[in-house]
Amino acid sequence: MQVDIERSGGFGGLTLHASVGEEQLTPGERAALERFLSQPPRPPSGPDRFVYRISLRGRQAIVQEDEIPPELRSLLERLDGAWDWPPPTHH
Amino acid sequence: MSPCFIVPPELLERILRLGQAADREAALATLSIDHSIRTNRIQNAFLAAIPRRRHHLVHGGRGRPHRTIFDAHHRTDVHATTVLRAEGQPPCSDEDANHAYDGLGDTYRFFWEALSRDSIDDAGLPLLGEVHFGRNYDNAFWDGERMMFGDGDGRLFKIGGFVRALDVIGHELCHGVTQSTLNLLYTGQPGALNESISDVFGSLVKQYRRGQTAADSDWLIGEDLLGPAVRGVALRSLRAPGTAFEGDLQPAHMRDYRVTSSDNGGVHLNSGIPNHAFYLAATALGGYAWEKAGRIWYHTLVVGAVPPDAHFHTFAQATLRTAGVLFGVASEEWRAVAEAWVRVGVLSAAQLG
Ligand SMILES: [Zn+2]
Repeated sequence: MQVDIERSGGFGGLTLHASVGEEQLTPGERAALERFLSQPPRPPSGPDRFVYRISLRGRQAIVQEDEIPPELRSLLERLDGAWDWPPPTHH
Repeated sequence: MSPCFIVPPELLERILRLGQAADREAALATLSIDHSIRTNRIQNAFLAAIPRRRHHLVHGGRGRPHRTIFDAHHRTDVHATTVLRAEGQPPCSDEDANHAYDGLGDTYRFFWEALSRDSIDDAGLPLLGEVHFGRNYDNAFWDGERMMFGDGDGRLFKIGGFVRALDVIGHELCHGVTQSTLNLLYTGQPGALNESISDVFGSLVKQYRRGQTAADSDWLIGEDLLGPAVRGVALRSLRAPGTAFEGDLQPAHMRDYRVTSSDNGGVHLNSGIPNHAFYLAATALGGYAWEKAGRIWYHTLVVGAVPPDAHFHTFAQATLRTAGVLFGVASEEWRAVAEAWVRVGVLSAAQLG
């Protein structure tokens, strides 16, 4: 299975996607992700911050940029440059 | 201050600034009653009532910004920063810091000269900017106290683009203005309204700096900001929402309002609707957009009695009330604003009576 991550918001409002194999998660990342998957989303942290939607096995978490813990930040940093853009065109 | 004016401006100021929503409504309604004395006297008294609070202690006085630009040293933790340039200092060796300093100055000057607003809080709040926030960070934002600038990753956004884009700086600083006035929520329709207000004033800051009329303006937000991976001319277009870049999904009409759970409910998408309403009003009125449409929007922020959870139509009605106070009900200005909201599907002609 894979973890699908969407980053939306920011000043630009560009919505980007990336995914990473579930097996590539470190135990710390896995535990942090599990916490977010089992809690309700928090309200927006402020204007033009990024918002992450993280989906795994049919469950999803909405995570505001400023509540990303260090364990998940390392995962997002691994995705730098791997964000899928431009989005797939739909004709 | 006109001695003929019937309501003492001091009282008006107190009501508009400190009164409960209902009292402010009443004050605005009172101003709207006597059409015969409207024109300049009312307009001037209304504007004179815009508060003149001041905190001279922290800066050189009204009409002057008090800027400090910090270096975030590519970190994102809270304020592990050093000062690169403080107010009045000559340019420093960091070009990004100098651009941020100039952009904050131009934004301050717009709000002061065009709208008589003394900084974000109209009380001379110091303007703090932080450059080199994070690594390859593709964003700029207002954190409630400071403006944070990423460097950009060179792929989606040009490196050094955010600090050089005056409309970005105007947009972010205006989030502070909105926070200290309407304090709109940042989700769904109030969030999109919050975004639109920042785009409107971000564009006006740029137009003012360039001395452009509504007809001359490109009405773009974030041109010269996109990196090679994004095909387009800008991030948003107030003239033609949805056309700024390949993949721009902004609507320009309520029938295309997008329901989504991304981006806090599509705040950067649905802002296209009120953005386009402002463009329509401003271009219908012609001249410098900050003199009429911009003033109507601005005074709606300051005294419009718009609640934090306002939807587009609540804000639209408030802009009409403001236009009525400033220029007269059924004036050319009032009609241009009404027509604009009808054309984007926020108000219906029937609602206007
Ligand atoms: Zn914004």
